[in-house]
Amino acid sequence: MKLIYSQKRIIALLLSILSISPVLLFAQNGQTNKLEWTQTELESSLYQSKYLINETPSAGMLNSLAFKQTSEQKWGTVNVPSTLSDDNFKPWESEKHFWIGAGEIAILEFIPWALAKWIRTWEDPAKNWANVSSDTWWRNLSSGWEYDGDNFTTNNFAHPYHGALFFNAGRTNGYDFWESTAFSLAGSAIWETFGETYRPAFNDWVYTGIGGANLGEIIYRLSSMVTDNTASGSDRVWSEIFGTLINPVRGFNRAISGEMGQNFPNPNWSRPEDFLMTFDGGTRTVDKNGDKQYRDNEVEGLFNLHFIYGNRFTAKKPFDYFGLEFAIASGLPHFTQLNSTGYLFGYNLEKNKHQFNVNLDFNYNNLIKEETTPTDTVYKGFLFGSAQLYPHILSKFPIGEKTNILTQVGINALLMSATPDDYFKDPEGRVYDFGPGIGTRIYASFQNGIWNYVSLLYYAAWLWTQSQPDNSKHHIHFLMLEAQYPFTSYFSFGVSAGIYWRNSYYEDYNGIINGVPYSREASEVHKNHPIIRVFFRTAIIDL
Amino acid sequence: MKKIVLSTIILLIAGTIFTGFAQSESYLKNRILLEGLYIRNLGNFGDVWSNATGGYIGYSIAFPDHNLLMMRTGFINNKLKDDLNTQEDLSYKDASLTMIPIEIGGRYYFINNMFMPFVQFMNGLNIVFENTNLEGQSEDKTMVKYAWQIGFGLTINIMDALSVDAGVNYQSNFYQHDAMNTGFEYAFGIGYALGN
Repeated sequence: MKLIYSQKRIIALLLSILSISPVLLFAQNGQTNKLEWTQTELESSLYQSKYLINETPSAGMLNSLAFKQTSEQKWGTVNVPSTLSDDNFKPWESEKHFWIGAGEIAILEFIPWALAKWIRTWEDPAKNWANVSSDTWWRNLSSGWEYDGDNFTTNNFAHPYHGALFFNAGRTNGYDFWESTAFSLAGSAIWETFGETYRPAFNDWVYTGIGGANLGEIIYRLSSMVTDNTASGSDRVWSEIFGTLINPVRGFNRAISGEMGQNFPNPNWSRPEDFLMTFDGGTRTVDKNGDKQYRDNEVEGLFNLHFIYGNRFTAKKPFDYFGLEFAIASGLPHFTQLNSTGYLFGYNLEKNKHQFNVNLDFNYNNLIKEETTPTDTVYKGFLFGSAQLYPHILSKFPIGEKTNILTQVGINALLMSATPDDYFKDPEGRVYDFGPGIGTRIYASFQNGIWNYVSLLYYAAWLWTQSQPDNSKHHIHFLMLEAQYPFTSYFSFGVSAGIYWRNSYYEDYNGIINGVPYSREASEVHKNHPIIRVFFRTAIIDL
Repeated sequence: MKKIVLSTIILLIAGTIFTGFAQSESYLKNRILLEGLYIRNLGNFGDVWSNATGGYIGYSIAFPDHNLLMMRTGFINNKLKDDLNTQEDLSYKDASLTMIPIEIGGRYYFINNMFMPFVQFMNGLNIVFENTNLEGQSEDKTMVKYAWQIGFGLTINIMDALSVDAGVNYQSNFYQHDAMNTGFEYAFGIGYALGN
């Protein structure tokens, strides 16, 4: 195990990026008393003196929960003397707590509803979507699904994050991944039908339910990794705080179950056999017009955080392996990327060489560059979002002791995806089309240790528009070549060059969308957006 | 031929009864399920096609202790609203809208007993065949639309291998933007267990 930077700094960095919702603050505030108590108990003078001078403990010291035998902890074992550790303590998640989970979904529904209903000021009170009644419920049940007009960030990030919390209402109450997915789907269906006056949005249901399962399992595992049940003292306090910030629902359950103040073994899966966290910073140049002139570029700073959790060749349960990429740009929109892929199930074709895996992926790529003129707002750049399955053949071809060529060839099965619409602008902010799709993805990389010296990605998909105006289809492609050279074992310099291109085919449309007449003539649109990146990358944690 | 059919029926019933006497560890078993259904359609779709009748045939795989994975197909025939089928207005004369659902989903059984209440979720595709659209224009059309339903019900294990099911489901299937195929489905079925 190699820890490159201090653990607290890593955790703080991780959480400062992941703690993005006001809901987290609610959760943290709710636990202040508990945490203060824990801190007072654990940061005793006995603990401090023992920890620092490493002398034989007295009987009084042994009675302190904060006592540690050694400064080096072995993960998954309780490091306090056996007399102080409650080996009979039953972890909360070892049993199913349906009604607690259902209650937490109710709370998670109530908070945003109550904020809209009673706190938010509406210019036009008639537009308050929280004014639900039995009439709106029956109308929603009778009308059925629609595709809504929300902007990209709301639909493709806020809803999946909300779904991740629904998911954890099941996951942190004793349910497995598949059962917890039912929680996120059910939580979303209830919200869509009964929590808003609008018709239930099908895109919200898929993104909240399926995207929520993806993000929910990731924050569940990261939170479980950060939280150390065997720790005591300030280490324990910080681990609980950070664990709660990453996964507020889990933190809430640990607080009400008393796990926060208890020493007991960590679950054996809570620290994966492999874990890599890297951070890179650099610049990105993206062509905004997509017209092959390449004269309208935007250069911006780009900061990326990558996680690789587990081993994709030995994964057994959902998300035993996952990859996560999160990026912030200096230009607008700042929140530009959140892509993840998680192992669902697979079959070993040849041990440690060839594997058939099915992953659950979530993609959020927002490079829409909004330009406002006195008369209009123009949306340049591009975006792409999806909740999708990725069945693929994974292969590893060893070259040296630590050197491999890794390949992935598979099918993109897009349950829901979003891509720009060149004509339609919904008053609510949607400038893109929704629909399912299918395509292919090919990836190859030349790896040495933790570094990909050269990697190539090709991603393609056909998308059939289901949202209004619906008679169009899009053929999208990404091609990205990346190379990096490590100067040291934990620091590298890299360059990547790629292109996003899209061919969109629009048929005639004459209809009424949300009560407004809309028409369009048949056309074909072709867009090409080259992207170039230059970056320095550092490995923060390599386990 | 008559003797063969009679013998087969007798053997089937006898087998069912004898296995009913045997000690059973779980009522949750792989089953073939035959269901009849009635749907009360809602909304703009229901203003034209008031209700539907049909049936499903499916196979389900048990996952102890509570879950049943279900796959099914069937046939659904929608009935035109009475006041549209008049001699004055011939727009909807001989109008027909039928569906073949192909679905996968599951049930969660709360208890594993003779009486087993459950919640159910099914989703998949409806292959829709119509010769008249909602506005009454004649047009032969075949569409493939996403179908989704959720509900609850009760399975009664009347013998070890034989069960009857009753359930109520809410469905919200795609049809067209301003007229989704929503409705309440009432289903009654018979299940036959295969092995354990």
